[in-house]
Amino acid sequence: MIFLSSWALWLLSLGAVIAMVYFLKRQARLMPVSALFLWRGREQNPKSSLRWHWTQLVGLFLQLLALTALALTVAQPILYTRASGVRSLAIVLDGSASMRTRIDPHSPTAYQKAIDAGLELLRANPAAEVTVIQAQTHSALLVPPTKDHAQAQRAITASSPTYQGDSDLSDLLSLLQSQSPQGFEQVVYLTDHHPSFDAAALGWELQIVGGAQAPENVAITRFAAREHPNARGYDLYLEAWNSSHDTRRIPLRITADGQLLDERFVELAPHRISPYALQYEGPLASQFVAQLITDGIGDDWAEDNVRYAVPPQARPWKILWIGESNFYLERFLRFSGYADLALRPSWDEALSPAGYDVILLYRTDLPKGTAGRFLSIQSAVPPWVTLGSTIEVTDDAIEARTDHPLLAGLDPRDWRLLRAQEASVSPQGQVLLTVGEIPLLYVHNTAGLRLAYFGIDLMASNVGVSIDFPILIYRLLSWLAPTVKENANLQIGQELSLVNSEGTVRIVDPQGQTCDFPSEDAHCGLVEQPGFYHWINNGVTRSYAANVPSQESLISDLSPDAANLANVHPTRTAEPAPAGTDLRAAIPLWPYLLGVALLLLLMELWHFDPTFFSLQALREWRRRRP
Amino acid sequence: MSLEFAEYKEYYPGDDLRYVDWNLYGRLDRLFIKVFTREEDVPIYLFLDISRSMELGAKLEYAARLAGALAYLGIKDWNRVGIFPFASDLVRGVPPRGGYRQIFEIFRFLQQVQPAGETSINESLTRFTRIRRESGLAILISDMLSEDGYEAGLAQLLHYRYEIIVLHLLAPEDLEPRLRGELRLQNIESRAELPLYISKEALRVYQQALVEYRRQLEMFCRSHDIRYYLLSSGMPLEETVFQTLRQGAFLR
Repeated sequence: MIFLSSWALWLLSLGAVIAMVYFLKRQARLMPVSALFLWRGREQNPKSSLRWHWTQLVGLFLQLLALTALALTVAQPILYTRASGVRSLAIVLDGSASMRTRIDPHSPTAYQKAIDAGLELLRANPAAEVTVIQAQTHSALLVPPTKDHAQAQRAITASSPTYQGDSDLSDLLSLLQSQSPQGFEQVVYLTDHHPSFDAAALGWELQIVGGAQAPENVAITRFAAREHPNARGYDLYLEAWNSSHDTRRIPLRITADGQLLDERFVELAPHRISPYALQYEGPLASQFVAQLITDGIGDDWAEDNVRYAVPPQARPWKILWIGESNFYLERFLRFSGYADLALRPSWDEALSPAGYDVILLYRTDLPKGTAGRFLSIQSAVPPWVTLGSTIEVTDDAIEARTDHPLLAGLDPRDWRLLRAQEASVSPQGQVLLTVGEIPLLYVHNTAGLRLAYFGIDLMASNVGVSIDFPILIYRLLSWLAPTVKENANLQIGQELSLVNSEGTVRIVDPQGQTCDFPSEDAHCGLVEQPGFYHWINNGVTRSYAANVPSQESLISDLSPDAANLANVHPTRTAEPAPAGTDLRAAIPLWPYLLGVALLLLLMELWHFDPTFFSLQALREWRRRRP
Repeated sequence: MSLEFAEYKEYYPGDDLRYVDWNLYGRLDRLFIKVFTREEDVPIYLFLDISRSMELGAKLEYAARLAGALAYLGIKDWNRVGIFPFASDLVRGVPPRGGYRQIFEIFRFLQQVQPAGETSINESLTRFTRIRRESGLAILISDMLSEDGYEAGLAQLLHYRYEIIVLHLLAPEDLEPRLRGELRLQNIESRAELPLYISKEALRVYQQALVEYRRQLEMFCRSHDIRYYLLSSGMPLEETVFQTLRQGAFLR
């Protein structure tokens, strides 16, 4: 037996105080009375006095015993006894979304069954050092290795399934290894379906907790919205799954931005995914919800009947700016929301242009023969653009090819230049703007290279502040990198992209709760619930649809027949420890000691004043109550 | 002293016109005079035991509040009321007078009263009869725990035709002492000590002695036409005044 808080044993010294009080009390007290003559004639009765002393001694004994029991309670004694089971045990609870299913409306969910199985494992292995892990896309450590089974029990009972998908084996293995580098004697994986990996090969015990009957689940497994190329309508793509043995005719309801868009019946063939493509006219909404109405129909998991979709959204160009800075151009690109800028003072061999849509060169030189998409402003891009000396511009007018789409509607005649830099450009491209013989705007497009050269010195002209300038830059960027649309549909367990943001990003989850990234909350930015997430940064709001991973809805058939076919034993108990192994179960004694202490205190109270427990005392107390 | 209507008599010249009943004149067209009788007031002597035994169980505080209440009721009925505190002897109190000023005088005195000395009812009441001969209503508020008795004092009052009421006031500690074990009992008045082991048996015997003492006191009072009331300082004063004393026809 050991004491977790051995310092509390010092409390036993309070026994000396109790004993001292007892001996002080033994001396006859002086008690004033109104008159003595009513007491006279009552001689000292030695027999009664002796009995009184003995009863007082019993009181002292009870007090000392109660104090001892209380001190031992606080000291938290642990008694070790020989026990069966294993020494180190890892309980892995599948926390993926499919664990929310319940085969029968009145039966517990698969996760609740996993909890029961986990608690049973704790009981079967009282001496084991237990580690509890919840396995899903982002697996979580619920309990680090501990022999405190009460703690493990509390953590298991308090846990709940997530909406995430199945765990990645390598993540799970590294998490297990981080908790016990030498490995576990037994790892039990509690799940509702066969994992993608071979548990037996890993030496794990697989316990399938689920129903003993075939699943009956319908679900929407895919849902997406796409705008027509002519922007006069849009398509909705939807896939629905029926795991039952019968064809089902189920109402499908679609809402767009909260308004009912369509309601129709869909026929879902058994054990099949049924695809649907629905076309609609009119402007594209920003948020779509599709729902299968399964009221009164057998459905193991109602939450996967709803799916959310957001049409792809145009994302800003990712621009790598190399060279000098320019106030007007940089501010325009940043605050128009058109671009995410990364600034570098000069070209560096270590720079990787991959991941950027456009490389903007501002008054710098590019190494010869570099491929990519370049917007060159007063920068040489050899061998296609080479620069010469700067000359003063007198009264030469700017000539423009306004029939070209890049310059359509612009009026460069109002632009005034103080000077211009001579440049020679490759004849393979097109010169769109000149002053005298000097090319000011040149575009070039060959395999592996797309180049726009802009030769006007923004600091020596009025072009940077003219109304045509942002239009021209936007067109040049669009020509260099046609607008990229970003998929705004996420799976639960993914993280919201924060790379295109600056400063604090506010994230609003489907429940309306907000968090500001960067945040101390590790869950901020993690998609954890189905519904619409909103991303707000510098006044720009983007919406994302978060859905349960569709594989979670494809609930496996775990009927006994199917389980036998899969050669899986739905319940398997842990192997007993080999004979001779010294296994000790820790039994906390403090609850028993606390009970004994309370009992002793009650006995002492009764001994002190037996009338305290009488009905008369109760009546008197009730009478005295205000 | 109070005036009470007695009868009508026909008006004769010289009668006080203030007593003419003008309503009757209006009806009968004759003048009648209202005749009153004056009720002679009775002095009330409130004997308040202020011995140190009254300190125990807040008996003195209770007795003072009770005396104040009774004095108020007496003065309200146009009587003269006086307070006569006593312990081993009579102590200076408030002489009997009527009127509302007297009630404030009595209240002021009762607020300042302090316990002192041993109880001697006989000595105190005998002294009283020597200094005051006008008989009246004597109300004795005391725990009556006087070692030299009470009979001679009460007999002296009866001799001078006083009507006597004994309000025997005991504390819950006197009636049901919660004592246990080995104690040294000390008379709060004389400081005399009595070492005693108090068991359940000892408590039972004490109760018997107290009952016997009360019974003798009550018998004495009954045999001498003295009204006797046993009061407890544990009872609310309102209950004592409006229930116990009213039930015993002590108060109307």
